[in-house]
Order: sequence, then structure tokens, then C-alpha cells
Amino acid sequence: MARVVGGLGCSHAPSIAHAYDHGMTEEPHWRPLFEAFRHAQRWLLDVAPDALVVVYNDHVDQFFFDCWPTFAIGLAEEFEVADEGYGPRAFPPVPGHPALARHLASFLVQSEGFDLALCEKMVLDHGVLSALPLVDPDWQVPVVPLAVNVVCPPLPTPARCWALGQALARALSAYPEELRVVVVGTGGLSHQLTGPNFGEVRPEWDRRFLDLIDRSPQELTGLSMDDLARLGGDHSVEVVQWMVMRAALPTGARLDFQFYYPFMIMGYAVAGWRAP
Amino acid sequence: MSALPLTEAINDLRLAERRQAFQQDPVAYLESYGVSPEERRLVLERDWPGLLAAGVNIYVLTKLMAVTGTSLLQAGAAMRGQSWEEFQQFVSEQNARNQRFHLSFVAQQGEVRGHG
Repeated sequence: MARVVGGLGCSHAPSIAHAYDHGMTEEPHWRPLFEAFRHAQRWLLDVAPDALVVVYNDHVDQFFFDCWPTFAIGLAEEFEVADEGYGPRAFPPVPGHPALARHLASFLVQSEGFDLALCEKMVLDHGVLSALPLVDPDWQVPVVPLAVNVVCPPLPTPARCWALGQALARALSAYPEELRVVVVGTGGLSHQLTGPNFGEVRPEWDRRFLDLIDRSPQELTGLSMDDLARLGGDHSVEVVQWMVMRAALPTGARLDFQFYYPFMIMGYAVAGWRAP
Repeated sequence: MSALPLTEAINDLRLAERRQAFQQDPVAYLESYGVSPEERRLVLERDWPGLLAAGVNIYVLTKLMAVTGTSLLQAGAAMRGQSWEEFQQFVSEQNARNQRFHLSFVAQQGEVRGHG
């Protein structure tokens, strides 16, 4: 059976990719964030997964409003790196894990009642690519991308996202091969990208979120998407992807590290849990 | 979704050959998607608040920002109704105010803080 050996939560803002691509990671203001990612990279090497399930959201680079799936899974052998307007970033395609992905799709659809969209081809944007080069620079670990709709209303509820994480754990344990899996949840934390409050960061809520997602995550399932938007900014609702990840972790998973760095227009966070 | 033609026109700017077409003749490019004259004006004038009000998603607008060399922060200043200098002041004050919330926790070897 596949075993969830760890969980990683991290921000995926394009500013991370921009700083990385333009050699800014050692600048005094950026260094704390990239040190956090370096810690995550060392941690991931130590945890030594055979596969990653990366729970993220697309930003209208793969999906479009003509047909937007609530949840979608990437089944391909490899995934192209998106061109988000600046030319595709200079990475080779991200390796997939078709066998694991197909098993997860079947189990989630047929045994768990999740109506996933099935993607034989998928372009990955900064939802995956901001963090992946920082935690797995040489594409050593194959990825099963799992996209959550947080862009095109109506959005799934936080409770539904928690349930998806729990179902993901059951699906993984039913996989017939021995496999060490780390579930990654990207996005967040607080940010507001539109309107007169553009740029506001909510550090009190972010710190509360980080406490809740570790110690009492099911409390978050009582919140609506509107609640999350009100607390952390309209575009912070991506934190449901952290909830999917957290719900997939086994009982007794312990917080190994947690970094929070509010800077510019984003509450950046990187955190890791390890299974007992 | 009523803003679909405008949204599609802008979102296709994530593709290199569409960026070239837009840069060569932005009016023809927009007309080819069936964008209305009023919506065309919003694009040509880089009216970020207007484009958002017209129903274009922010993650689509970032593609127009890319091709026009506008940063999200610059567009954001416009959304706040601030000059660039005023916006930088806001960010600088926010950074300073939020310093006390920085967190850097690493569990010690053998420290047990497990919960379900």
C-alpha cells in the first residue's frame, strides 16, 4: 500500500518564481523565505518520498471558463510548464506517475464519490511550479497534480476539500504497491489582489490559520469560502489546498517545521508534517 | 459569462504567437475575438479597475500585465487609487508593522507534538 509519510504546505505566489528566476533569493528581504524553502528541501530529502501528490489551484493557464472542473487529476506521464505571459520557465516537463494517478482517480470516483475531472494532458502553472524547483530541484520525485477550483464560482466548500483529503488518504492506502507519498498543499496565505484593499496582508489570521491547521484542523471545516475570503482576503481561499493535504495525513502526524513571513503583498508560509 | 470574449482575448496572451499578434495590431487582435469598442478602450488604456469591473478575472489580467510590462504591484496601486510612491509607502509600513508576526519553528529531535 502507498503510505503518506509526510505533508508539506507552502505558498505558490508568482513572486517566488520571479525572485528565483531573477537571482534575488539572497537579497535581505527575500532570504528568510528562501531559507524556509531550503529547509523544506532538506526535509523532503530526509523524508524520501517515491511520489508527490500536489494539491494546488490553476490560474487560468490550464483551465478556462468555458469548462472549469471542481477537482481535476493529472494522469499524464509528464506535464508541460505553462507560459503565463513571460515565456515558459526554463524547466523540463514535470514527471507524472500515471499508475498512481489512475488508481487514485478510479478509487476517488468509484469508491469515494468524488466526481473528478480526468486530465490526460495538463499544463502546470505557478500553482505547482513556484515551489517545486525549490523543494525538488532536479525533478527526482514524480508528481500527481490534483487541482482544486478556487477561481470560477461556485467553489467547493472547505468541508468538501477536507473530505477530499480524507478520501485521498483512503485511496492511497488501497494502492497495491509499497510507495512513500508526500502530499503537498500549495497556495496562501493571506493576500488580496483586487480592489481598494489590494496588497493587504492579514498576519493575525495567518498565524491563527497556521495554528489551527496543525492542532485543530477540523475547526476550519466549519468555515465557508466567504469566511476564508473575509478573514484572509479574496484570493487567500487557496488555503483549502492546505486543508486537503492536512486531511490526508495519518493520525499522530507531527509538525516538523513552520515558517511564516509576511512580506510585500503576501503572507508567505512553509510548513511540514511527518507521519509517525 | 458576459465577459467571455474579452476574457478569452486577454487570456490568450499567455501564448507567444498571440502576444505577437496583439503587439503588431492590438485593435485587429481584439476585434477578432468580438470584443466590444468599450472593452477595447479598457484594454488599450490599461484601465485595470475598469477591466476588473467589466468582469475580467485577475488571473487573466496578469497576462495583459505581462505583455504590457506592467507589474501586478503597479496595477494594484491603481486599484487602490494611489500613486506608485503612495503604494510603496503603504507596503513599507505594512512590512514594518508585520515584522512581529514572523515565525520560524523547527521541532527538536525527539520532540513529540503529535496530534490527530
